[in-house]
Amino acid sequence: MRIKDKKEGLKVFGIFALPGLFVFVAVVIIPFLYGLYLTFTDWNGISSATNLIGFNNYVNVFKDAEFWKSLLLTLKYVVCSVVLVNVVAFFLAYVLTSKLKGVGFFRTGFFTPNLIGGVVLGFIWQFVFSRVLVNIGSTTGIGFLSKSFLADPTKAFWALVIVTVWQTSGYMMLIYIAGFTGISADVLEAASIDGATGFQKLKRITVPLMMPSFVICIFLTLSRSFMVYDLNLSLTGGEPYGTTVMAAMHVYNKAFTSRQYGVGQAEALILFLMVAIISGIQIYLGKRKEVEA
Amino acid sequence: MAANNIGGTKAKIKNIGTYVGLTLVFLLYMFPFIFILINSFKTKKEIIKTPLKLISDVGLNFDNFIKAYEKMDFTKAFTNSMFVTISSTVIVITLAAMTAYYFVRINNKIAKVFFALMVASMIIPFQAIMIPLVSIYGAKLGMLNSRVTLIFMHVGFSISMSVFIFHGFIKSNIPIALEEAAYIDGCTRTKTFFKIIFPLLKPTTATLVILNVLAFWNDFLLPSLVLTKEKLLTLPLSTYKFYGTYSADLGTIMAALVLTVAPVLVLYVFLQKYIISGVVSGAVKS
Amino acid sequence: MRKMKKVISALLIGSMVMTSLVACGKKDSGEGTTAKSEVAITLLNSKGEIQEGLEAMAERYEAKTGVSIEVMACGSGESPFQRISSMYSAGNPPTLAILDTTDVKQLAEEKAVDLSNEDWVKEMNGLTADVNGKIYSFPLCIEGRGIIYNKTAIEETLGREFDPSSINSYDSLKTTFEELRAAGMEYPIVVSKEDWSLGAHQLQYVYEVKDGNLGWEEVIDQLKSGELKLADYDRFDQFVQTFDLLKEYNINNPEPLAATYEQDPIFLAEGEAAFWFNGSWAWPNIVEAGGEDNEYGFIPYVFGNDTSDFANNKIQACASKQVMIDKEKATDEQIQAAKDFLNYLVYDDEGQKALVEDCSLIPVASNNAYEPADPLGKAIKAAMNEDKVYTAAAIVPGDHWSVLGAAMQKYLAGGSTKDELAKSIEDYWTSQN
Repeated sequence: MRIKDKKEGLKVFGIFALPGLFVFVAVVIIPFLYGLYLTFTDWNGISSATNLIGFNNYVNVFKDAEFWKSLLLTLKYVVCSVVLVNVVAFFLAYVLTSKLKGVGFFRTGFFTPNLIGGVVLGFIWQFVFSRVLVNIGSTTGIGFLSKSFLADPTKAFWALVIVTVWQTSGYMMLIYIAGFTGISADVLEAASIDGATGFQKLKRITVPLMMPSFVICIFLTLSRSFMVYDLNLSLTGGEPYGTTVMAAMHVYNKAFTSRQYGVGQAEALILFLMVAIISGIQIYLGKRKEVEA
Repeated sequence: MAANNIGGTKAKIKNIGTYVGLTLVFLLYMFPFIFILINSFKTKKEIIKTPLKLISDVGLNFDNFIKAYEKMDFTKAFTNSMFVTISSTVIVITLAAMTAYYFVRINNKIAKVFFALMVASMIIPFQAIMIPLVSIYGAKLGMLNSRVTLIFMHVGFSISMSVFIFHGFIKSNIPIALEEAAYIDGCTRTKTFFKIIFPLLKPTTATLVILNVLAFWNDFLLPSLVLTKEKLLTLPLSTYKFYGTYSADLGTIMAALVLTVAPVLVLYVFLQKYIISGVVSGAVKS
Repeated sequence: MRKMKKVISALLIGSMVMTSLVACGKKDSGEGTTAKSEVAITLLNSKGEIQEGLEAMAERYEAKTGVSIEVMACGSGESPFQRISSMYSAGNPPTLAILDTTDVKQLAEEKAVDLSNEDWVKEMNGLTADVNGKIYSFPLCIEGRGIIYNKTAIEETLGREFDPSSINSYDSLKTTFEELRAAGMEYPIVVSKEDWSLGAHQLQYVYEVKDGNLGWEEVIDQLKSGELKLADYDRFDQFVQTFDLLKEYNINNPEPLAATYEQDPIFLAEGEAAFWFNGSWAWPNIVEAGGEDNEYGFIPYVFGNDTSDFANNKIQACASKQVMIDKEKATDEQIQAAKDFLNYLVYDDEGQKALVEDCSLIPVASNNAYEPADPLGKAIKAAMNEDKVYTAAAIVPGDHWSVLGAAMQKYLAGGSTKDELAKSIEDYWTSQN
């Protein structure tokens, strides 16, 4: 598109970008800024009286040891799930873009976990971990399974990761499939003729060409797992004894169970900043790789 | 000839192996659905005691479905969900495609700043803007309890991701020469966009339709804040009645879940074909 | 062509503006119609299991008086306090809200209508929740908690008659457990691992059995100031002693934290276990587990070996859910309608009946003669009539159940010692200042 003058530039902006940006600003940016303002007040989430209290809430955040503990756990969870989700999703996409019959059927199947969510998803998996697996474990004598995953802090953590992989890998698979189909068949064929093996082709051609898909998928998994709440609540509820409370859940509890709205809001902002920085770095590195490729 | 044969057998064995592997993983992914479906016909006690039993002692019992259907006021909730989901999806796809197109082609300062803002906004925890949001739209503007407000908010919250994905696709897959030719031929920008560019976005559009429809159809927290009036409730909100403080009506929940998921599943199976054909035609062109 | 562009841009911007206008318009017209017709009020229900009962009641009430009551559910995954906060932030609070006492206490003076002069106050036997000497809420129901027994299962296992009043000390409970174990019931009690059960319903006994009355206030004040060390407090010792006993005979062993609240009532209903620590609200769970034909009742959560101790002879029961009326947004007619509805629950025969029969609640009002239909409710009501209840109910901060529930879980799973548990409790309270 070539823009002739300022007037035309404004018009194009008005037609193409303004409507979308208007909604975005109205729904996300303005409430966000208002939320930022609230972190400097002593508002309790309900009262009509508010006083400005400066950085008090932030001081309290630094004193809140549980928050930093939950943040650390979240980091661990993010690393594990980002790696596993993307490996599984990439692998599934790779298999499902080869010339097999019935790939559509499998694609549908792997995506279906995205169709349910919330409390029910947690209940089903809670049932699987606490009853079904235990049942299988005790009848087959596999000691590893005969104890409930959810009763042990470490295993409960892995239960969260497993369900996350199960739930999100199908979603990411779709994006990877789109990436795979975007790679021209000619390039791969040319490489085959030059004598490249399957693995070489994957490493030298497919992966570099798929960089945009990687950037998107890693970004999406990263941000989603940083903010995991529903699953945390419905699968473990932070149990056993508060060892699986992740950042978003802690923030929610701080605001509504401990009734410290300002502190909760401030913690949410700190969480946001952290994710922003980490994702920023990730996208920057990814884009640079893209350029190199 | 002989060598060819051996190669063929090898490939076949490899294929069979892949299928067996895929089927196993497939079952693992499908398991909860099978679990929900078989349990939707059972009583609560049976669900707890014999969750893996295929058929309930009383056979195919539709009581749960009847109860869920009536209690949820299914027809009304279904209509509400349809209205909200379809309108939000159509609006967000249109606006996101246009915005993304603008961001890619007019790569000026405003575009850069807003694109960065949108990407950053994808990582704002919803809990962090929940209360400010209702306090602005509720207490200050009095706009709650309206499906239109919900649609407006759905669009606002999902536009970032849609723009982000469209942006990547347009940047790498839509050659600028195409639209310049059209523009020289006398098409307006809007016409060029809707006649030439938008159809080319088909594979991404299909993916985004699925993702957005799912997100809107299943969303709970936002609608629960915006809609409190009984007659406006969407499907997920109406199933909440079955959860108590100390107990949950499992049989009815399972049935309600089947009723809620089925329409999306049908849509997905239908669109799945469309995605593949879209992706394939895209590939052929390039 | 240029015109076309203008039209489209005008349309798009127009549509955005329309969106907001339509939204506003709708709201206004909605309010307009309600004001013209009969009075309409809303009720936020945070007690999921009575949702259906309340809806039925609301329908009947509308048919009778023309006042429509919309009952809004607050789900289990959602904290009632979050729900009410967001409704207040959104500027559309419910006219009536069923909340926990601690929530009411926080909202009372700013948001709730003063109900101190209502007629029904005198029917409540002093079970109202006072905030600075005023009453801001209507106590909806009585709930009692203790150790539920399945008499049928005990008698079948032991082959003799079982007299629940014989359990009035730590030793007698222990003997019963041992007897049951000897007779083949390896683990006679179900201890649910839910944090609300451990952190609120069990642990709060420590404060409440101080004197069975308002003594808990003193205990909590002293814990806050650090004056009271749990090691010096006999009630804490006795509590842990009993808890250890339950822990040892818990059917969810060896993995107490792998328990599920779905499975727990089945143990009791099917007689695999003879006892379950829970409250009068657990009846629907027992019915769903198929155990309605057995005989059930409560024994106290025992404290030490003094058989004359009130804690060993009485069951804890209190008004657990409170209904407040909003004064911020509700109109005078709505407030009046809400007050009328509360009176209907207390003085109208139909209302009394609906409360007990539709919602299976134990009414607080002494003039309500309807008998609870379920055995657990009956047991509590009977105990009240015989003066076998103590009504102490500690009001603790909103996160007490979750923070100390976690500490209790850790102790239940053997992850901490008694001293560590005591320290968590002391730390929790000293950090409340």
